[in-house]
Amino acid sequence: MKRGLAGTFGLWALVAIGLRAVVIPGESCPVISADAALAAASNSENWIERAQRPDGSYIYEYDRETQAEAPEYNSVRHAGVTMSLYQLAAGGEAKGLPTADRALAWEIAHLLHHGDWVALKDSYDGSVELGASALMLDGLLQRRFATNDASHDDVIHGLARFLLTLQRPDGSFLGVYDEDAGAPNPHELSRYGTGEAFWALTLLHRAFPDEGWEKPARLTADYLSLHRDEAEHLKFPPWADQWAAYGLAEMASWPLSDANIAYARALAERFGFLIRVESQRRDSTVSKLLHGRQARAAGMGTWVEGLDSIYRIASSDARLADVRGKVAERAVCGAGMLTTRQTTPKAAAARPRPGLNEGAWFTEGKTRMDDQQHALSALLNGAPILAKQAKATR
Amino acid sequence: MTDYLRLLVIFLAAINPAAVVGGIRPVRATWDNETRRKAAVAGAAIALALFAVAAAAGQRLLDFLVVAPETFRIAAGIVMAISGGMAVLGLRTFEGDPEPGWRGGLFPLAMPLMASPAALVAAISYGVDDGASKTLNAMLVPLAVATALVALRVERWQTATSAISRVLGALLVVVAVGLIIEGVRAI
Repeated sequence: MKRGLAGTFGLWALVAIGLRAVVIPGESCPVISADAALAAASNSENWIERAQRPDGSYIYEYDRETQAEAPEYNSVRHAGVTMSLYQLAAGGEAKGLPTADRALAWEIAHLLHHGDWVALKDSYDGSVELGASALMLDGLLQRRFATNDASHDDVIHGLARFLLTLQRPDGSFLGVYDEDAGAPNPHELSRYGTGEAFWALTLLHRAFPDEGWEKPARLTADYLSLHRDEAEHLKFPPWADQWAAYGLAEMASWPLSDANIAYARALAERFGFLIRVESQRRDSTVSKLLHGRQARAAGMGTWVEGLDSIYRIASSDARLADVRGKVAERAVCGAGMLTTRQTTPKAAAARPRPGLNEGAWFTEGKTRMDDQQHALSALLNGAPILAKQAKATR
Repeated sequence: MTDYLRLLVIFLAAINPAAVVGGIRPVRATWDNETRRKAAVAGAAIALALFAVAAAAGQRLLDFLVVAPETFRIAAGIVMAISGGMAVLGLRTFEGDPEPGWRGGLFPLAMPLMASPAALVAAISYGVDDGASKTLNAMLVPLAVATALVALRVERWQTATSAISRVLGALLVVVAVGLIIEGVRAI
């Protein structure tokens, strides 16, 4: 009997070890406080400030091994980084405003003026993408919420009208305006731009409640909730779109339709799974071989941003109340991973150009400006969840 | 479908009484009536104890392993799918020679036939998700059926039990795939 049992147990043990190594390695969720998350967000803002050039643009990408700065640039990411600084200001931390305003001046200098609308043009390849204008608009609206300054309302409305130019009757958006043809490119969509524009429409409704922005926002909310993944042939639906989650959270009190709620739930499931998988990854050769490399902050940050937004919905809409605890758990886990992976002052001091190391997130030796953007937004919006959890456990 | 019925179907497939009878056949032929009954009861008692421990201590085990229940569903689904596949193909599920006499009720009857890897990981996963008592309740009927089939004379139903074993194996594969999807889709 001993031999038989030993053989059986031996086989089981081998299978169990294999499963443990490949499918269920331990999940590591560093515990952090709300203050630590906000401090990390502030450190990220400091990096962005140090990485800003005199003309208001930022260092696009920095390689800490070669100390080289990437020559290319991208207006969508410029607008996204700037938006995160205004988001920080709207959250109560205004020290990044001068940096953001310099970046805004750069954006205004790169606007394409056309009839009654304006759009942000890419400084590198001259393209006029939906995403760049949408994120510039998101940033301007965050700035308005932070400062109550209405001096840029004309630009806000110009950008908003550009968005409507690209919106189609089913709520979807075309992704690019073809300057040569003088019309939107009818064949090009953007998997990021639609959500970015959707969020902008919902923010417009908050800023200008009497102007009717609710209607186009709802149109796109329904397109995202019901049709986008299929219409745009996105594999493994739902597309993990944190911008859509931002927009849905903004709409939480409108209120959301059942289809929007179902979509928010599906997004929570996707973001939650991604965080679980990420928490199993380690910065080791074996882990990289079995589970792939750790996600860059620009990726993981978006998952946490998405969870933060869905947590807001779940906190106010009973239809998602059942997932509130799990969403918080995953958001907190993601915030913990982000905070502990940020380059510390001590680690930065040991490298050349410490100012471009400290507060940044590096993947395979490189950091891109949107790593700091998404991590900043994720930690800023995750801090209230951490604070609530800390209060609940007290 | 009520929770109980859902779990009953799952554990009918995971314990697979027909596969238990098929697996014990080589040693069962050497048992007289009394030995057969004793072995069946001993096997069922040990299996039940193991299931109870798995269902009740599942959360502690997952805490120890630092694994979320949602992630464990994926691993459990993989084990169950492999077990189901083996049942469909009629493959032997244990190594070594069966113990002669009533001790065959311990090995291979209790383990690994009744308390198979599939049934044990299912007990852990559903014990955590649905509660230990609900899970154990749902395991009683399949375990009782397996015990009865081992204790009774069912040689003439060999073809039928073999077919049922494969059908339940296929059902287990379906359940396992569903569990994996649940694990992936869960927050």
